[in-house]
Amino acid sequence: MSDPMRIRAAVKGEKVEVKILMSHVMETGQRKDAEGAVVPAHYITKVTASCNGRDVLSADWGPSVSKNPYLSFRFKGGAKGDKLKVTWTDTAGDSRSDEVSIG
Amino acid sequence: MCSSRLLALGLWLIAASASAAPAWEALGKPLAANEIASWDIDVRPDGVGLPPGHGSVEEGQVVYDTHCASCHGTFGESTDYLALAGGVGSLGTATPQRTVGSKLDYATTLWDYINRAMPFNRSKALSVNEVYAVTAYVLNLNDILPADAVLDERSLPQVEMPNRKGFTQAHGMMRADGKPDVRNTACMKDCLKTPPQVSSALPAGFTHQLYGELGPHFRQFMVAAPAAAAPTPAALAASNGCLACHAAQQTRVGPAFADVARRYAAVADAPAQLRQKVRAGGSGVWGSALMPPQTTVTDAALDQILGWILAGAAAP
Amino acid sequence: MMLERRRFLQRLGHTGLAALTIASGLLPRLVRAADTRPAFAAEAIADALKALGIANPTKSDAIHFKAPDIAENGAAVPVEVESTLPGTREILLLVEKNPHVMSASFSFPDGTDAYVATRVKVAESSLIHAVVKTDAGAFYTDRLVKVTLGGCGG
Repeated sequence: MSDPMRIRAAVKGEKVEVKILMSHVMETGQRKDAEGAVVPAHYITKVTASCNGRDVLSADWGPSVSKNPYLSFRFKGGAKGDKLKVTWTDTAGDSRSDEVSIG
Repeated sequence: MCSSRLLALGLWLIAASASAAPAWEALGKPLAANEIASWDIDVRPDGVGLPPGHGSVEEGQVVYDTHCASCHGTFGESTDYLALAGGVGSLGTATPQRTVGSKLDYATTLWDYINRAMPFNRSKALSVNEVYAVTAYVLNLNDILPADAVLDERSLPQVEMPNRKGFTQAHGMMRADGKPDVRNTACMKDCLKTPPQVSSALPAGFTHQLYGELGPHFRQFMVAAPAAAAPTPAALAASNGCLACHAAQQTRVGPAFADVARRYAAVADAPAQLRQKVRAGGSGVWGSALMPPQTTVTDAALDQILGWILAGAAAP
Repeated sequence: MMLERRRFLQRLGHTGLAALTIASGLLPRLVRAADTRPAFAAEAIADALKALGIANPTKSDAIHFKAPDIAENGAAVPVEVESTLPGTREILLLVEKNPHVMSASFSFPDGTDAYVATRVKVAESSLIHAVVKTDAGAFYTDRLVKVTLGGCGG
């Protein structure tokens, strides 16, 4: 139901540089729509990333991370062709995982 | 003395009007078809004006990462410069986001814009096929084209943009609060009934008295420039795109060269430090505006330019 | 049960939701939309840090925090934090003037750089704190970000 993440993971020297763009409304629960009704909160609370099964990042988010979240980080020990997997979970209990090969 | 000059001018005018070709026809030359074509580059919504060529999303990603990502963001998500993706449907809201996807009504406009104006510091550096490829990639970043799409002069005009019916110019490109960059209302009424009388405040023949025959002055512009004098550092700065963002004395997108010279006046290895900064690009030293990495300028030219900047960037 | 109801509400159309909330007096609870995680429910930085077991972090120059001085659009303010403090385990981002100050926390397993770049919503001009948890205690730095257009709308 949710759109896939765009993930770019590339070896830069001895590190892997990861950039992620997620597709999510990140509703704060504070916003009102055109009719004045409060739009219910709906946001990502947890993000994890792993490289060939090894955890490389975990994050806890609140509603003030921007809509369609952007995230970039770097880690050591990844090689070209390794699988980088990113997973998020949101307040509605929905979850999504996407995987790319490190380039 | 004076009257004999005036008489000479009068005779010259009579002679000029009497001869078959008026004097001004000696100025300029008719443009050849290929010269007109080099200026006539606009592309219309229906695709008229698109040159033949093609490019894929996949090829476009390489072009984009090299020339575009440093300013527009890896996913077109930049907040420093214009974001290229996202914001579809946000135009009427309190936080409008103007991007390729949310704003443009025709995909051909994107092609035309990239072709004539991008990359910002080296416009027209992309080949026709590269423009097709990067157009395809930017449309893919907007989820308008699938990842395996290929664009050419026939398929590009067929691309359906999400904002096909909602295009508006009632806002600025660059400002989040939506204020237009310029406010100009064209006056289309109460025009002058009689054409205005245009006249010179100078006495008749004044220019000719001062300068004599004008033809030779013009001809100097028409002969080819003397061949291959070594370009000045200022010319190198211009031809390498530095002047797109920097000026000698004024702060523009980037710092004035004179300010750079002042800051580095006491730095011993200033040329080496600056050479590295120019090659790597960056932001935050002078402001948040980002300098893209400069990869195409040659080492020799860069050293000349930096020497000139550090010496105060004097006009040639 | 609570979750069931929340999902049910989300799936209602806006008009239906408005009618329902007004009729049943649910509105205040929805507006607060309390996050069950104490740090994310906190309305002051000290409270958020306390909930995470951090008291009085020390200001440090070894945290490099990049954020714009002026952000045109508070809905997406780019922030970049890098810590050169040894043994950095976590980086936290807190926006002082937001209704709920805690924005995000990132934890770095061994081998991952103590670096993160993301974008946050900033409701009005505010200090943004970057707090770093290390093996040797907690440190922080902050940046003032002026916002032209508040980030609550999006």
